[in-house]
Amino acid sequence: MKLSKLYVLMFIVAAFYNANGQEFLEGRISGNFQFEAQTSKEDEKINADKVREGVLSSGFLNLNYNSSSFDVGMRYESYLNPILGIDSRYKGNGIPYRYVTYHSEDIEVTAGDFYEQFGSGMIFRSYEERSLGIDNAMDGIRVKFSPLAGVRITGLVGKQRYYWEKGNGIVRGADFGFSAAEILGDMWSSDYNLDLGASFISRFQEDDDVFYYLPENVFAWAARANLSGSWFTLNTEYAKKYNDPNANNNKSYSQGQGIIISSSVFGDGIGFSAEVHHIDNMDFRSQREAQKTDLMLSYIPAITRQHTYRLPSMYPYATKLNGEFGMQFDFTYKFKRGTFLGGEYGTTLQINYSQVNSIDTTGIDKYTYDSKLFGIGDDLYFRDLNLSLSSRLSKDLKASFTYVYLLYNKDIMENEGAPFYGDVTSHSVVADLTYKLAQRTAIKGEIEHMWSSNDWQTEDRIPDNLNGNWIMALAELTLNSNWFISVFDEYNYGNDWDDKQIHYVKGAVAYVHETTRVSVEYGKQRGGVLCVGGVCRTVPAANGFYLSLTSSF
Amino acid sequence: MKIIYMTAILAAALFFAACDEVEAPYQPDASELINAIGPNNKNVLILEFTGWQCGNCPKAHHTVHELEKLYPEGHIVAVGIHAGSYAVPFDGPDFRTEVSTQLEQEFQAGLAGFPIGIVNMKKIDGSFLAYVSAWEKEVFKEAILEKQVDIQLDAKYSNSTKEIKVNVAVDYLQPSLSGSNLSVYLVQDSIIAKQKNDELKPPMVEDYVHMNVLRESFNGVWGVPVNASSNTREFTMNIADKPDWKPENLRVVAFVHDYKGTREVFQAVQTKLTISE
Repeated sequence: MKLSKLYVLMFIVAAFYNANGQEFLEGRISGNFQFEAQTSKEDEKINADKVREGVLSSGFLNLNYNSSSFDVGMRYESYLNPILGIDSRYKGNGIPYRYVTYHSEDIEVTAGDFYEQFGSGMIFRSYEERSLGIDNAMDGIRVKFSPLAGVRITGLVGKQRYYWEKGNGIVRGADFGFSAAEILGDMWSSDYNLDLGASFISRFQEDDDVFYYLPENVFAWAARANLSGSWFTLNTEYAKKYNDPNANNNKSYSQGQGIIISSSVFGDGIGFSAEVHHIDNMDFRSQREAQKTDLMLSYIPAITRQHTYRLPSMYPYATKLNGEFGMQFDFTYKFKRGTFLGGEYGTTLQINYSQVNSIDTTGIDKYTYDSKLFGIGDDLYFRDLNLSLSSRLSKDLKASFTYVYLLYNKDIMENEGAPFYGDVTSHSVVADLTYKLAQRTAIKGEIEHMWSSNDWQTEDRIPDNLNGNWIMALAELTLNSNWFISVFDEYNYGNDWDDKQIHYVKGAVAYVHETTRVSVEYGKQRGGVLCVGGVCRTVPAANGFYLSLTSSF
Repeated sequence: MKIIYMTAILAAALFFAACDEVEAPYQPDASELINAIGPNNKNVLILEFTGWQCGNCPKAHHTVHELEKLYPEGHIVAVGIHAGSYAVPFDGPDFRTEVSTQLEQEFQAGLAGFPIGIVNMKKIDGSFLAYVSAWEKEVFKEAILEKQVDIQLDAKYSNSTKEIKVNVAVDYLQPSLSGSNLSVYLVQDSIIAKQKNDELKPPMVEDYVHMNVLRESFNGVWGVPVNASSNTREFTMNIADKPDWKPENLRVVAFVHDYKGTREVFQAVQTKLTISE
């Protein structure tokens, strides 16, 4: 039987299944759809290549049937051919994701594809991030069980998605979660919550390498504790991974470990949070040869702020899983209305600082090294100091002003640590104003400027499209709740090469109706790095149209 | 009943918590396995995507060189494909060719990031592209296979006519492979030119020795089909207008591959030019 017929049969069986004597019509069908198309012509100035196919397109349709006892679902995907920035190995179309889930009061069983995360994800997170072309869904069996109130157990086995194939490794794991408040009931003070958890992951991959003795079963475990009250949270997780020589850690046989500690306190109009993490040899994948964003098991988001403004986001940070020590502090204060700084409507001040360093390691031999928990290395990878003030200046005018200082170690981020580029230092300022013209009509204006300098000033320098100062202006008009028009220009006026001082102008029109959104963009897109949650992908430059259609039902 | 469930899940979790700890020595002596490889085994074609601006590429060049030393002579057939953004000349050498560019575009090697290669044009886990860390293992997997095709290759160069004349005879040891494509490339060794090497400081090396540089193809990127019944081909190329192509450093690479099917390379051979007046 062909697979597509099997999926249709699955739906029919699920739809007509008479669980517990109930009618199938109790269930509901839901889903969502997305389609993107892109053209690009050759533009030597911005390093954009002509799209050979004329038009590139990517799309998917999720379809789910949910009833009281069963859920059935699948996703059709099409990449003909993948849009720029999405890995060419997605080329093709088909149904890579399908599942059946049975659930009762205390047990849930899924067969097929599923996403899952244990704790913060340090040793296991199976997820999709379409904008980066990441989908490491598990294909296998998952059982979730709650034997007692406040106790949650998850067990799973499967293989991860690898474009249109599966990775070689078999992933087995279990997670145990305990909620003190739920378990102890009245015996527990209701002012606090304490959640404890532990997870285990083991990957099996055959050792077919004649040049190395490789561990076929690689094991990792993690333990976590989260305490929270009405005015604070304290979260911590420690993880350990046993010897896992792979393509990303230079075939190191050393053990890996990681710890994340984060805490926040908050009160009336004030909040403070602090986070530190120490990551050492925690690149864990379901196949030891996998690289880039392929077949990731571990997920450790960047400990730095993810900037949404265009110019500061030009130099994003991605977690260095082989080793980094990071810290981040965030302070928020709301000046009350009627005060000097609070004005008529109140003003919010946010200050954020983060820094990431190397870790201190000592090589033992070609295969192993020694390192200590919280041992901080001398190399500075990244530093970010940013502050923003946002306020409503009048009944119809909202304003936000932001300053961002960044130090970006380009060698670490883009050159595998080899000394070549040095650091990039940038200072950005952003003014973001939104004026309400009518009930559903508003105009937004944004001006950004970035002063940027870099250490890379040798004779051998190769022209690039990023260096130097930038200015950006954006205007966005919300005509009503359906129509949106925007235009922006990013101008690299400070590029060290005159012919690279380019305006990247782009215009967009979007139409929204209920759950459907259509947008068309046209213009120049600078090449760069796109990051989501500290995971990044290089996106090439483009010059052309981009169409997007999304809908859900 | 719930206790039984819980115990079963705990037992399953512990059962899955398998862990192997490897202790030194971490590498076996593989020389015996390598020494067993002989003339009846398949040669291995490495298509290496590279560029003079690619600072990590010298590591890959080194890996190729180490593999060439490790295996019997002629067993590793390497072709360096200079293409994509790392090969744009600016003030460096321009080793790009139409063939290189087409190969890079076909396999989208630039998107995956240089250095990257293709071993005997076989897919590894769904992709033709293999990172350098995988080459050693993948080359060995291919090198222990018995060859299915024999290729006799002869290449002559005349100093007076500046012409390269290549004769190729394909012998299908496995008759079902008849009709496979034959590609014949020209590569050059020992070119002294600029190369970025991130392991050095400063990283730009002015007199780097470039090996295996793909210069041209005798019969297009993908070659031509060759049947068992008509198994010889002759190619010529005049290089009078290529003063930098030193005949003593040129090599001809010929390989037979399943162009219309899996693309797998069945055999690859190489020879230096026999130079005459």
